[in-house]
Amino acid sequence: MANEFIEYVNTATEALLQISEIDEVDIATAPRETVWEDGKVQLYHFKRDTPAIAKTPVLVSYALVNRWEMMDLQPNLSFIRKLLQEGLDIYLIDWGYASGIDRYKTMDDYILGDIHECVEFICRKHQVEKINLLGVCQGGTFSLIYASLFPENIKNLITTVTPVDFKEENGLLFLWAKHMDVDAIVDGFGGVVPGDFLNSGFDLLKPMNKARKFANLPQVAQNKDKLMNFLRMEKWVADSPAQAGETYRRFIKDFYQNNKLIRGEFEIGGEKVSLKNITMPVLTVYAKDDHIVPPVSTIPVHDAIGSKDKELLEFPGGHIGVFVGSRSQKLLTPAIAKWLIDRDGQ
Amino acid sequence: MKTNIDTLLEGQKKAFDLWTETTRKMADAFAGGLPKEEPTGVLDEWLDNQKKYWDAILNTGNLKNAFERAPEDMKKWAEAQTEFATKWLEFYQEFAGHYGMKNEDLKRFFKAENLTVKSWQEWMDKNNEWVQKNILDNMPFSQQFHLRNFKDLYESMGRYWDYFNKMIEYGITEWNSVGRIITPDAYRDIIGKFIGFKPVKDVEDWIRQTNELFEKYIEFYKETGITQDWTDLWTKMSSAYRDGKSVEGYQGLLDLNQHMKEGLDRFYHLAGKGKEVEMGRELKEIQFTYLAFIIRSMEIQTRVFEVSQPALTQTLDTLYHAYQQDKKMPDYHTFFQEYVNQLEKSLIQLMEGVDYATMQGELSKLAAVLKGKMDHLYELAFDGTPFLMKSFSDEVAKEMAALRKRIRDLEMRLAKVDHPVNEKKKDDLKASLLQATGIETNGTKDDLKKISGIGPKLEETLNAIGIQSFRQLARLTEKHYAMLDELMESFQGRAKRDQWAEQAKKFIQ
Repeated sequence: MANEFIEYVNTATEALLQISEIDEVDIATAPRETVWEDGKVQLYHFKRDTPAIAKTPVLVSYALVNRWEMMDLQPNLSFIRKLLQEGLDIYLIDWGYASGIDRYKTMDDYILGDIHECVEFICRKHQVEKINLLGVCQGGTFSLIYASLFPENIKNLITTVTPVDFKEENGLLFLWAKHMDVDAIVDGFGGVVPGDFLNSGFDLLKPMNKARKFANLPQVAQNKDKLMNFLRMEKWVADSPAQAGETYRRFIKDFYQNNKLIRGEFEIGGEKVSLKNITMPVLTVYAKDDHIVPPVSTIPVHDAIGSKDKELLEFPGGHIGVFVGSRSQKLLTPAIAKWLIDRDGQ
Repeated sequence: MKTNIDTLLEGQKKAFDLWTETTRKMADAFAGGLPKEEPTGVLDEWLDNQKKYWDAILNTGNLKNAFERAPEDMKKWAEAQTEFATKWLEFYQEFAGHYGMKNEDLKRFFKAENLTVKSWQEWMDKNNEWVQKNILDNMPFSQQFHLRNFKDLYESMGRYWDYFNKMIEYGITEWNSVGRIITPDAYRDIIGKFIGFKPVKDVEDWIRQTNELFEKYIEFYKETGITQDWTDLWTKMSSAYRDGKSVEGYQGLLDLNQHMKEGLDRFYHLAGKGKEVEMGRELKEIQFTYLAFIIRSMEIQTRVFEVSQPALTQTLDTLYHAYQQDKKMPDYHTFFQEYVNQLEKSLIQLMEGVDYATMQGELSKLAAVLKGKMDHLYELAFDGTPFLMKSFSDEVAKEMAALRKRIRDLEMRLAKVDHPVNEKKKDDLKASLLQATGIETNGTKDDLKKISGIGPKLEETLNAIGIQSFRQLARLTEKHYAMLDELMESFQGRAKRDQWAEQAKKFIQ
């Protein structure tokens, strides 16, 4: 045992030495430019070397939880770079970091304000009436709401690992949110819910993940590439923005606690949101082993929408695996691009 | 025209008067009296800047343009605030001596070896840092797991590996035997490292520690005049409560209140003057909330500890059966990984229970409430300098929210100006619609929101046209839906999509 432990400590020390030599952990390296901004919110347009195969541009609406860089984490296995390679023209909304000034920013502001303005901006820029919308996780929920209010603006809709049915038996997060006093939490935190608070909840879903990760670190650290990817993921995980209190409050109450969206009871901007209004083609991507947004919470959207052309696509992996790693590159990105290119004509 | 912005600016000016007044009082509190020259130069410059920004916004003559620029201007404005705060503090440090207040006193006030405080923000940061180090980092249940714990954890468990090894070999996997080697306390420490909590072994000890902690917290402010009696009174009061002597406890509480009011008074001459009792009350609330937090944490810890025992015996058992198969003793790393997997299974099973969700909900709530109370304490301490405070920034945030909504409303109206339907045509459309639907002469008014797709706004629009009953809606046809679309300001196509007439018919039946 004694020898084994000394060996572990030595490898761990070497690993830490390696880490200390690294100057920068590069993520989000795909070239892009900011084409529109409003305060903290920025709209990026990713640069292409060749004309896109699909004429209709794609707007990516990411979640407010965690940062979009996850979609461009490793330069060689980037979800966004791969979609570009497959011939899509990609825009993405960066929500920025909410702080005190955003404590009263509402879901109306995010959806009817930011998303709507970005959609209109892209429509004007490309002189098209409709664009494609790709929603990620919570950003997918926002996309569904948007598409049901403004179906005339959306040509094709893709939701990836998007929670729609928030029944408490759907998973630990759903159960916990049900027993959460969201008013006390939002007010206690002064209207800005810290990212660490959210992260501690996500961590608990797999409570031993970190122990497992550290146990394997000495092995990981022996390979520079693996170590870099480990650090890229760490960097992304640690970069967890705070949540605008009013939006968080409403998201928990209306969705996690009262499941209003799937029941057709959710209202925004004075209008009731009916998922039946969604009649454009819809691709619903869910991950088989998703422990954050399990398939039971995503699949019900398939029956709730009014579209005739709709498809369910199961990804064999977890929540993050959908966007990071080689399986995503092999199985998912080409399928998404093909689905959109097939529906690009009139 | 008096806008909300004017009100905001007025608030600023009032805050300023208060600030100047506070400055006088601060100076008064020290020997030497008021200086001949007041620090008006900086104030004037700052006010001028503020006015410039707002004038620029208000005088553009184009409100829409002004609203579009508002976020940017707000940012500039916030920068002006920060710049001012920095300048003011630099000024204050430089001239504090002239006021009769020595830099030594200021140092003691900020409790810094070398006075490096450039702004109040920095002072707040220092304060927060203290709270983090002394309170938050000592939370018994942080739910955070760090690499620095891991080495320790791996080693702690490794100390038992020689024994576990034999247990696997001979199939000794009952907790009765395992627990003799790894004692409950030692095991609790290990589990604590996994989950990121400090094991609570002894409730009384924890309460004592908590009280000590709060004494330290008070100590933080003590430099400016709180006497040692405070802690004695606190101990007296809490022991009376602990021993069930509520009358004495209550008397102790009163004494404490009185003492706190007097004792903190000197400090509040610098900050929070007039808020002594409120601050004292808040401090006690913080202490009680913190105790409640600890008690809830202990409940969770106990449950976690309970489920983690079988995780260890189960691991030994699994490895024993594997060993029986191939007679190959696993290495420590394999054992550790198997154990981690078992532990995770047990924990998830525990967390799937409703009672755990309730405990966790309560714990999160207490943590947030605690944070809120601490923030409020600072608010009270710096009452009188509102523009640096959360409550003041709250007003700005509300203003921003109102502006965002305003901009959206304006844009929606603009969109309509771009595609006007002339009034004459509107009237014609309304007339033909009402001809088809009929008019409710007896004042019947149904709740049209019951129709899927009609919200409060659409109901209002329909009522304005003269449609207010299910009976009227039921008479609509495709042709009328198109007319409605022309009259409606947004959400075109909805009547047809949701088949209002069909839905309305059901409500009539």
